[in-house]
Amino acid sequence: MAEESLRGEASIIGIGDLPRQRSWPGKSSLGLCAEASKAAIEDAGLQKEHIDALVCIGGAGENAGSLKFYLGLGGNFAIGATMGGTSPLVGLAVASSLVAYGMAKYVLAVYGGGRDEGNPMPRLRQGWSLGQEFEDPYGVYTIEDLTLAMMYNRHMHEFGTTAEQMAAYAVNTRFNALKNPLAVMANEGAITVQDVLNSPMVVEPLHSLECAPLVGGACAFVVSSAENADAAPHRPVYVIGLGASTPGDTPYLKNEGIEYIDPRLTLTPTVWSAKDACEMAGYSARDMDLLQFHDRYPILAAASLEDAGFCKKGEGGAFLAATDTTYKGTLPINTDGGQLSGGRLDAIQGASGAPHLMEAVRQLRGEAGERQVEDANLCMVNMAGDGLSKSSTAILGTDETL
Amino acid sequence: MTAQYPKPLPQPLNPAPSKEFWEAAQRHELVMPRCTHCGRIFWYPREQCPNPTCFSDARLGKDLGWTSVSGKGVLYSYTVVHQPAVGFESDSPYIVCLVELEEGQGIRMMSNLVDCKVEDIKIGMKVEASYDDVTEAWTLVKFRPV
Repeated sequence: MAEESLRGEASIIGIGDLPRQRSWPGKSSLGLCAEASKAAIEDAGLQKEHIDALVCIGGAGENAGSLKFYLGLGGNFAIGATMGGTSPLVGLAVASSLVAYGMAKYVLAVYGGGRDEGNPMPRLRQGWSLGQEFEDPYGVYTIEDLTLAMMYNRHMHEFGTTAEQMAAYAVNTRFNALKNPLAVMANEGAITVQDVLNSPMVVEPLHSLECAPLVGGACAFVVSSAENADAAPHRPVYVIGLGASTPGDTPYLKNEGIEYIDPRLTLTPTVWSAKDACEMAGYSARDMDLLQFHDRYPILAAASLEDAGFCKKGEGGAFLAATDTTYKGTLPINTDGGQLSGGRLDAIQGASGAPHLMEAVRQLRGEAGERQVEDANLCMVNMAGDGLSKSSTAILGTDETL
Repeated sequence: MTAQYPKPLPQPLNPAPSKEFWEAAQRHELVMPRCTHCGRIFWYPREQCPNPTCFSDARLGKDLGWTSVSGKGVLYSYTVVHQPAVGFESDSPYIVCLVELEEGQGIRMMSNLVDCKVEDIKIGMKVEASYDDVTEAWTLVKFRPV
């Protein structure tokens, strides 16, 4: 056990995920979670009885006990891990801590849901949210994230970012998705920059082909201590770095004199989460072999890449346009099609980035089939929450980079 | 008109911290919460000063008060919404904006930009508060070009 950090203490030894599709008629969210859980447990070479803790990811976290009961898991306890779109990596951090500190041997973490029962968007928000008072009366709560649309306009204004640059990224993720049978756009064919620019405006400046389609599905993974990972059937994937940040209500912040928060809307919390993850890992952006980055919109990926140190602030658009981000490229990003062409997994308070983690593990194991990146030994996974309010970063590696 | 208004009205979970804001809006005035300890103006209303170097735990009306502001500011960013929120279908497309107010170190409010053609919108343009009496009980603070 390391005294100061979680670096290399935990390993993802099993994954299970379902196709991301627009609806799942006849399937309940719990049923989908159960199916993904079974796949992950079997992938880890385990039985249900081996699982001694459950981490329920996303807004359903408060129902972790119900999910545990549904799955028929014995063992010790079930907890929730909820931090909006970044929840899967927070779930990974929780699971890693549990195995590193001996509170559990095998932790199952699950997120998923269909789109046919409850939770239809657009909807009004529920619960503890200031948005009900100060945003919803202005038509702010729509299917798409208006804060990110406003960030996009601001990014164009400050840095000269263009829709053509964003479209270039969209074209590459579609190229990747065509080799991923689990992606919702797997059979929709290639697209061109012109296709993206000709697609209708949804919330300006976002075109419809810049918006990830909503899908149902489920993702699960099993975490054990690094010591136990060697006995697992697949090549272990180690958790080398972790970081998370929740600065809060970014759009409202323009508080000069509050030093710890930069008031620019174009700055994402990844600037903090990626820094922490890199410090724990002892690696920097240039060491990464591939990336899995939250790409609900290309502009979110662009701004996050800047803040994670892959290019200078403001140059994310030019960087994406000049970089071959396909699985064959110089810096592969979202080799599974990302959310943009893979689908944005939308269950209760969507922890929509969960598939990014699945793909990172597949690539590092060398099991990504036709879209396998050569010599994939280090991968940064980055997830963002709605309205630029939160971000989580993980750095995963193999025995080569441990 | 009240019965016909199809859009969400403000739903304060606790009306106390923002009561004065909404009452001022009904008078077509803009007021902002201000900490009497550190002097910071902030948005949105809350029961504790958000300045990390302050930590006033007072309730509004004690160490937190209100200050009148001009309602003038600049457009920080915006989006034109073609895929409307529930209740806004007949307004589509409409403009959601972030406005930086003159006062209070330029705090930002999220609102609607009104009386402005889409082709005339420019980030950085000067705007001012425009009060929309949407029902007898509620007036929304929106913004329009100066």
